[in-house]
Amino acid sequence: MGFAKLADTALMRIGQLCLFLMLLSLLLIVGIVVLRGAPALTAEMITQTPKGGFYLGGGGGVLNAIVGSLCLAFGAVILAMVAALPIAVVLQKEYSRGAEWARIARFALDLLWGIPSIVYGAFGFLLMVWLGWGMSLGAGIVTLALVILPVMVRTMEEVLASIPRSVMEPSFALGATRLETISMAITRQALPALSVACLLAFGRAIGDAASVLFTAGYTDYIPGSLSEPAASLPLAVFFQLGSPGKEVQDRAYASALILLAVVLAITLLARRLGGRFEKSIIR
Amino acid sequence: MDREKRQIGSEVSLRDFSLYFGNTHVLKGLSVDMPQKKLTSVIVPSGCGKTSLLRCLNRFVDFEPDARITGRAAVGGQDIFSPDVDVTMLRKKIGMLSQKPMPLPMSIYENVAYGPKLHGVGRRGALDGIVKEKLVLADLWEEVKGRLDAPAGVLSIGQQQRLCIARALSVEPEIILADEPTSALDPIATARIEELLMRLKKNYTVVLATHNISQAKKVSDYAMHLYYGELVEAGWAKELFDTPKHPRTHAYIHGQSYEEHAIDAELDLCSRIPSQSYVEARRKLSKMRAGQVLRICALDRAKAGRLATGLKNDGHGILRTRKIEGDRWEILVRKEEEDQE
Repeated sequence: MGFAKLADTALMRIGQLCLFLMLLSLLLIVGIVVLRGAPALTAEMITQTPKGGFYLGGGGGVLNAIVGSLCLAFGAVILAMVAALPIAVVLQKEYSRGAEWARIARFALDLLWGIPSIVYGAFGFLLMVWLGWGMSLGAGIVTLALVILPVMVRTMEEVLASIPRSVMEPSFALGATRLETISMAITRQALPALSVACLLAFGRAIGDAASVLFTAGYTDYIPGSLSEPAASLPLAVFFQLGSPGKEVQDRAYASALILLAVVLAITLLARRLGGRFEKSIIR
Repeated sequence: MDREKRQIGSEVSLRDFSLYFGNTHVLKGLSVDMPQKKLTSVIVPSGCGKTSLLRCLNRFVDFEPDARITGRAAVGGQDIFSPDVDVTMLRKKIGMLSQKPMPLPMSIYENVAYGPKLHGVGRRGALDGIVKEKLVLADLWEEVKGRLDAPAGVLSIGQQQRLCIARALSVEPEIILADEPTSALDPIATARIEELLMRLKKNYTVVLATHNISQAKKVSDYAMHLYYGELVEAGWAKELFDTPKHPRTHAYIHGQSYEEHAIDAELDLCSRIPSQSYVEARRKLSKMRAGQVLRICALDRAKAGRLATGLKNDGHGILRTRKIEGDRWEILVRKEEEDQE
């Protein structure tokens, strides 16, 4: 029993304390959202769009925001995935061979990752004006895709890089090209981890308010096409929370609860899908 | 397709073939012909360039950024390093078995169907036929026919190796490179793979790298012995194993150590700090008579290099500096006439 043992114990205790604090704050967040939101969460909330005077305590629900958010987040994840996977592949050392451009690209992606989403929102707004689009679902999807692209590329790149080269060799030995090897064999091995990458991106996309504020806008209607504006849950929370009535504020918590539930549902779904491919992974 | 058909031979021939990784000379001027539709075993101690040799033949050296090749390596008369070789077609022609079986992350069926699919077989019926035929050929069909959709990872390691054989055969190769395919297997699984290799050599040119002498004796038609990247001896297996010409080959196949320089003293510096090692080496040498040979073991190439240079500057003869295993290097020094002190 000396200093080393004492330090070891202290470190373990500090770790446990931090873990406890983190769990406590998570519990508080969820607790408050549930406590305040659950009473206001009626069937009307999730099955109806806002009626007249909704933001002053009138009838209706936030179906517009639920549908809008799902469209925005799924659209953005799919769009970003289409772009991110090839980028992640090209950054692998089989292609880039440790070239300078790959290093610069990684650095740029890390920078992009750190840019606040309101800046993306402003950029998306400019782009939209320049293209002559109005506030629309399409513009929101494009902007959100840009927001999540860096995190997606970086996680996918790490996932692909962590795959042992020995998994690739049998494919090369059969006369496969790099593209065939990566798209047919490696992606299989990486699928569970890649789905986690998409999940992280989805979480960020569905929870982001700032970037959709100017691009997707907000509306009381369910979007009928990409060119119409779309509501989103984070903005629904934001607008209702800003209202003076307690009843409306409670509805903001109910909307937040719906947002949490959607994220939870998507996470569980992705876990299940990932698990189906997990069994063919070679360890 | 026609162009391929015309290249009938599948013999592998090397002419003054060398491989370098950076400054390390891994394969040293090999000239040898491995006959077609025979099994050639390459008997090599570990770490003497066996895997490197096989990885040259299917152009896997392309993945090593600092690899350099001189001389000629030909398969069926065609130079495999010539710039107009289509590497994917070459690899289709040359199957590979690795030390540890490496199934692809997919089902048993898909593992065998993967290769044919790559090369344009798309019809389910045709694929079914190929999968069955190759699994039968690899002696695995009976064990897996009821669970072709199971992931390949659930098979035992011996079954996985046979699956890898089926997979290699699925693209109709002419040559099979086997890099110690049984070293991870138990004796029973090993015996099955050996039987399989004996059967395969009737239709395929097989190159088997192994350090298992009894295995090589049992299965090979032709054999070559490599030692630190140099070809010691090559010839028909029977002659090579029964009446080896080179004393080193004789020693190796009889499990004896062979040293062309008689070693008079040894010095293990692997655990010393580098600044001491030169002093230690000099002290040891000063106690020896001129002409005697000291074997020094040193850790890492740079230190061994510095030590060798230092002793050379003192006037001693450096007979050899080479890697033994891992990061351990060996230096053979002959003490010269005049005393250094």
